Amino acid sequence: MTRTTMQNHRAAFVEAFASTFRAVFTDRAVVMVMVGAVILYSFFYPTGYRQQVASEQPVVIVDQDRTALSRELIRHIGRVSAVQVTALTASEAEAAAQVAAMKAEGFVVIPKGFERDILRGDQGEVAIYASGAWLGRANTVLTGLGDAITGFAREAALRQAAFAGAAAQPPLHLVQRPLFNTREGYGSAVVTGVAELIVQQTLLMGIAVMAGTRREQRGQLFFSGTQLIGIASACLLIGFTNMLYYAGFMFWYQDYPQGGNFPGMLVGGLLFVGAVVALGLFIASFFRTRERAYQLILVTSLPFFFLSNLSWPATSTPQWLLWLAKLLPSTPGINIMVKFNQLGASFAEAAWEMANLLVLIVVFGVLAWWRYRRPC
Amino acid sequence: MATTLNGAATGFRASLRSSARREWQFLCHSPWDMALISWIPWLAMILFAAMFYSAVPRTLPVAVVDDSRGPVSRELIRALDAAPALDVRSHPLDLHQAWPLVRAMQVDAVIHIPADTDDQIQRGQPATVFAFYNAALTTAGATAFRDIDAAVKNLSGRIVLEHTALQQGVDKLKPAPVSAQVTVLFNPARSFEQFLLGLLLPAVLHLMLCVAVTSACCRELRDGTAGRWLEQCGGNLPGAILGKWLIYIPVFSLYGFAAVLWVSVIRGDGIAGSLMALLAGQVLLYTAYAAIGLLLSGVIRNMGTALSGVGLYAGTSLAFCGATFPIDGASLFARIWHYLLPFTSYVKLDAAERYLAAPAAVTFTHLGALVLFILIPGAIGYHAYRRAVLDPSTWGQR
Repeated sequence: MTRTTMQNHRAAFVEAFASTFRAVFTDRAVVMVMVGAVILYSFFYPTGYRQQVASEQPVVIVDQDRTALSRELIRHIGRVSAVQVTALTASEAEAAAQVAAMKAEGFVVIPKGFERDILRGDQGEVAIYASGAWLGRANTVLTGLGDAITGFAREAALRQAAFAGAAAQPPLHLVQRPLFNTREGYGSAVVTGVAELIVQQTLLMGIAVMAGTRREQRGQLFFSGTQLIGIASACLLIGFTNMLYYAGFMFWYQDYPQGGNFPGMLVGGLLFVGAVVALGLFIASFFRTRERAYQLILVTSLPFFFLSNLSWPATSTPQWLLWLAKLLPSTPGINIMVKFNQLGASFAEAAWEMANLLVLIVVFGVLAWWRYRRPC
Repeated sequence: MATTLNGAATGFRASLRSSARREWQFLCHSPWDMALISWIPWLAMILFAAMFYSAVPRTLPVAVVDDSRGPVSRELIRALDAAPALDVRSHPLDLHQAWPLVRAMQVDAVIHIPADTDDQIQRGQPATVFAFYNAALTTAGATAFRDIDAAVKNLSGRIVLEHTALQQGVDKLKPAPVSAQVTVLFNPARSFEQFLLGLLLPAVLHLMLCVAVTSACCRELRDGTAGRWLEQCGGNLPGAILGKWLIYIPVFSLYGFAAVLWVSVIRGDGIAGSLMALLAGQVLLYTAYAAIGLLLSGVIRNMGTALSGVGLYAGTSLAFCGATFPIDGASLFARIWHYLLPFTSYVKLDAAERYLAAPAAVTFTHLGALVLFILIPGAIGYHAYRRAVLDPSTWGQR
């Protein structure tokens, strides 16, 4: 390569890079998507999950025993934060009606003879019912009530021991240790995955709106390889800044688990945004109007998030769907960022996602180059 | 036919017909706009249906670190492997070898059986077992823990019967002071297909409908065709708007019915409450989002910006509807936003009809809320959109 062609390439790169920045920041709609929406969603989305752990779910107590011990159990239930006792009744049907009317998420039945059985050294029986209409809440209610009953049982065991001798303790005791998201916050688990999706969707939309606008003005678009690299570099810089804003500022601001593997986060973020830019340039070549991007990219967000298998285990997803999902940057992207940021994974432990992203960069990069090449 | 060809339909019904015909002809010549109401919603629904087909998490990969290597620990490993949600995939020699598997997401949980477990149980002393699980993956982690817990409790009970009774005599055998019988009402199998798929399908459909209607309303302003459109509809704007809705709302309602049929009838146990109320709720849900599409179009008048608004309002419904995570403890803003979404009323109606067989008062409260979400945004939207249609200077915004 001669000196002048080198200079020509450099000039073409700089021109493409600079004109892409101009195109972004002189178009109100593109700035709104690539910058405005990114900031807006970083505050808006987490507000729904502010309290992190579900609490104070309404439950009804059906106390058919009405003794000192049943009241003791009710006091234990009143002390757990997951549930809140909203009514006391003697009728199971009434409690069930409260659940059906959406006024309670569950109820506990303390049958007659509960105290007598415990004081005799027998087993006192209670029944717990949780509304399964919204499964997440049922789990909260069952865990909360389970904790309360365990606490009560421990005291009851001491009481029995005083007159009937110590009961055999269960031989196996299980200690529960949640890893990475140690408080088991819902926002910590969901929003940290949604963040990558927001970065991807806003970047795809911004690129496609720009391409659609130019297409309307100039007809079919042609770019040389160098120009394409210039455009891609500008988009990469914007997307990577957005990614760092989420993984750095927003996760810290919301107190989400973060910073496990800092160099990994940088490399993973770069690969992820690189794959998004390559996909964005490729699909943008099909958009003929400005607004088409909003229509088609908006509606994909929800399916893309679930395809990342953050919320639903991959082992319960059909194999063909898992392979299909790997064609989207968000699938390896969300997983790699969660691995580096929350799990503190090493590079070797994220090798599969890195390879996936590299393949996407190459495949979509070549496809984009092929779509924009000038026919000879 | 003659009236539309001449471009002057008269009367409300004629304007309705000619507007619907005009919209349909546009869709037939615009493959991507047609895609948005045909194969794209079906593709999304099929992907979701396939994803949740197994209904409950199965064979979650777990690792067991067995430092005890005795009959009890072997028994526990067999019990873990037999648990439907678990698959003992790996046996690392120590915990240091187990952590990389968790960080690489190759296993969702690690069960550690400490060295003295068997000895302690032989001596009649309680032993402690540890369950570490990946809490960054909410469903997998929590499900794995629940099955580990059940396996340990089950084995614990068997040990009491076998060891304690044999060694210390049956009279020493005393039950725990309290036992709890646990029942999950309505969804006893804890099916995520019933829970999540039932929410996801209307969530994705109402967003697509809102995008389609907002595009249809904004398109006439963007392309400067609002005048001709109104003219073809005999100057009857309500008829012209409803004519467009007449394409989108029935189409998405039918998709919604198909979703209800799949989730509740084919894959589920049927509808506990009123099927009619649920289907009416579907139609009202899509009509409400059509009204909101009209409102955004009339107020914003710029297709790109209006669609961004749709993304914010209808694209985040699932996060704020309170069904996946309770909203009661969230900020005031989030709680207000929650009540401003028609989707919130729909998911409550959905729970009331699909599972709870709720009293009529509950049903009518949510149906009534959906009607208000049609009337209020519809009325404001109509006036705003009317002003836009009658003012050519606001057309052509990009």
